[in-house]
Amino acid sequence: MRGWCCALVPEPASGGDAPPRAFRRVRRTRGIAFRTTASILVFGGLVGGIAAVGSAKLIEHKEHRRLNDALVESMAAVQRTASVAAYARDEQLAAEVVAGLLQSSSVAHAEILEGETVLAAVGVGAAQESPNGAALRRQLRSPFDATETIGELRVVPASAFIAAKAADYSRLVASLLAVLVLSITLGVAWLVGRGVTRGIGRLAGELHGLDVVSGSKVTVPAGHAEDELGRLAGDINALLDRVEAALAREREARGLHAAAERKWRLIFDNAGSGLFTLDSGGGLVEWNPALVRALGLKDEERGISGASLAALLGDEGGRLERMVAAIVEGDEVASADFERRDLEGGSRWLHVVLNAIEGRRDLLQGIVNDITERKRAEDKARAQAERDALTGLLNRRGLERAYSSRRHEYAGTAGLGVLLVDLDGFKWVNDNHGHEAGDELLQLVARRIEGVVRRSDKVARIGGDEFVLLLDDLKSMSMARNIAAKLVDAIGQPFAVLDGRKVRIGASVGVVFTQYPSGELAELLRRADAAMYEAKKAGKSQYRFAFPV
Amino acid sequence: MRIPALASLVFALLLSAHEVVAEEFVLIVNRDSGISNLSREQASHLFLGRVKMLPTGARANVVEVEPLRAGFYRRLLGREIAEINAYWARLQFSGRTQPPLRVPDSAAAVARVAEDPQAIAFVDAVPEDARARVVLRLGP
Repeated sequence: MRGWCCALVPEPASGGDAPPRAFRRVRRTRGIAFRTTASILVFGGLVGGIAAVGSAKLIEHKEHRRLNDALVESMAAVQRTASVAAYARDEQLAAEVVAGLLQSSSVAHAEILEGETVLAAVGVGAAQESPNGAALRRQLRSPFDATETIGELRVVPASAFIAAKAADYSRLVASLLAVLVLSITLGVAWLVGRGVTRGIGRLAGELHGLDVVSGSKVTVPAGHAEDELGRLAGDINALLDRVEAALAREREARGLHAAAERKWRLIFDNAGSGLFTLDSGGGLVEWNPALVRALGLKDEERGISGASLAALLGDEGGRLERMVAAIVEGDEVASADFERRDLEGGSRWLHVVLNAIEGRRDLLQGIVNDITERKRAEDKARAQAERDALTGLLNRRGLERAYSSRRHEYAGTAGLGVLLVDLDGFKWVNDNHGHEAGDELLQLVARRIEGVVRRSDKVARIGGDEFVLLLDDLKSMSMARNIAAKLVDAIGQPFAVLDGRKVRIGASVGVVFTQYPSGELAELLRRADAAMYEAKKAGKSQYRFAFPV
Repeated sequence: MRIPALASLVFALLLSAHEVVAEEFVLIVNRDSGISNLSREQASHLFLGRVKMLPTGARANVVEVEPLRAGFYRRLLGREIAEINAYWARLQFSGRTQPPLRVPDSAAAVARVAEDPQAIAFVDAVPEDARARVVLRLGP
C-alpha cells in the first residue's frame, strides 16, 4: 500500500536543466588586458605628464644655467685676447673677438670696452638695453699688470634662444618619456594578454562549452602548468571529477528509483482494485485503470483529473464527502459501500476505503473494489433467507426486516395496519386431500392475498397457515377494515386444487390499526393474534380489530 | 718667488743663446723729436703698441734691438720675452697694430733714430751719436 502511494505522491519539482546560456564573448573593452593597458596608459600618462611638466621647468632652469656657464667659459677663453685688444686699443682684434663670441647662437650681443670707449660691438641691442639686464660682464686687465683694469667684456645672452633650446630639450625629454610609457604599457599589455588573459579566456571558453556528463576536461594552458592558471585548470578538473562522480551516483540512484517506480507502476496499473489519491477537497489526483473500470466510466469520461470522486459515485456521493472530511480532520481510515447507478438502470456496488497518508494532510489514498457480484449474491441469499420457499411470500425473518427497515417511515404517517390472517379449515384440506393439496392451497391463498393488497404492502407467511400483512400509509381505520373485509371475502371463495378439486376454507383476521407505531413487531402481532382469536371465537371467517392501546 | 725667477731666467738663457745681457737699457729718440724724457709707463705703452703716437702727436716708429729684447722687456715690464711674443702674436692676427721694427744691434737702432725724428728705440748704452737723445734710462 505504502509503496504505490509513495510512487504516486508528486515529487517537488525536480530542478529541470535550464537551457545553457549562449557563451557570451567578453567584450574587448571589458577584457583584463584592455583594462590593464588602459590603466597603465592613463597612470603612466599622468605621471609622465607631471614629470614632463616638472622636468620642463627644471630643464629650462638648468639649460639656462648651462648656457650661462658655457658663455662664462667662452668669455674666459677669449678674455686674454680681449685684454690684449683692449690694451692695444686694437678695434680689429676686438671685433674679431666679439665676432667669435657671436658665433655662438646663445649670444645676442657682445662688446669690448677700453675704459669707457667701445672698441667693438656686435649683435642686436646694446648691453644696457638687454632684457633682464642680464649682461655678463668681465673685467679686462692689462696683460702686463694684473692690477690694472683697462676695460670690460660684455656679453648679453640670447634669452629667447635659450628658452627655445630649453623647450626643445623639454620636448625631447617629454617625447622620450612618452615613448617609455608607451613601450612599457604595450609590453605589459602584451604580457598580460599573452600570459594571463588569453589563458583565462581560453579556459573560460573551454569551461563554458564543457559537457560535464561526457567526462571531458579542460586543458591546462600551454606554459602555465606551474602557475596560478595551471592550478586553476587543475582545480577545475578536480571539481569536474567530483561532479562527474556525483552525477554517476545520482544516475545510479535515479536508475534504481526508476526501476522501483516502474515496478510499483506496474503493480499499480495492473491492480484489480481501483487505487487512487484524493486531494483534501475530494478531487482525484492519481488513479489507475481499475478505478476507471470500477466506476464504469466510458472512454470519453476518463479525463477525470481533479474531478470529484463523490460526484463520480453518483447519488450516494455525499457520504464520501463526509468520509473525506473525517480523514482530513484526523481519522486514519474510513470505508463504506456505494451503489452507483448507471444510465441504463443497472447499478454497481463499490466498496471504498479511504486512508490518511502519513505526514500528508492534503492528500488521501484510497482503494475501490467492485463488490457488485458479492452484493448481488448476498442480496440473493438474503432474499432467499427472508422468503417462504413455498409461497414466495416473506417469512418471519423477512417480515421482521421489512418492519424494522420501514419503521422510521411509519412514524408520523397516516397509519399502519397489521393484519394477522389464520386460515379456517386448512387442517381438514391437508388431512383429506394430502400435503400436496395443502401446499397448493397455501400458494393459491398467497396469490389471493396479494391480489387484495397494494403493491407496496408486505405479505408474509409466518406459520403453517398464518399470514401477516403490513399495510402502509393507511389514511383511516376504515381502509384497514375495507382490506380486512376483502381479504375474508377473497379467501372465503372456493379454491381449485389438484386438477380441479374444489375446496372451501375461511380466514379469521385480527387487525391492529395504529397511528403511532411503537415497540416491537412482536407486540403488534400479539395484539393482532388476540384480535384474530376473537374472530375465531365469534365463528370464523370474519375479522376483528384489536383494542387500541 | 726666488726659485721661479731663477727658473725663468735659466729658461730665457736657454731660449736665446745669443742674448746679450746688458747692464743698462737706454731709450733714445731723435733730438729733433721734441721729446726730452719719457716715463716708464709711456715707454711701455709705446713699445707694446698701446699708444701709437709720440707725446708730440707724431706717429711713433718703434725700434727694437733683437738681441736686447728679452732683457729690455724684463727690465721694463718684469715679463718674459715669450709673453711679449705671445702678445704680439695675438695683435698680429688682426694686422692693425704693427709690432716694432726689429734691428740686429744697438748701432743699427741708433742709426735709425738718428735718421728718423719719429723713431724711438732702446739700446744698451748711451749712444755717442749726438742726433740721439736719451729720454729714459733703465738701470739695473
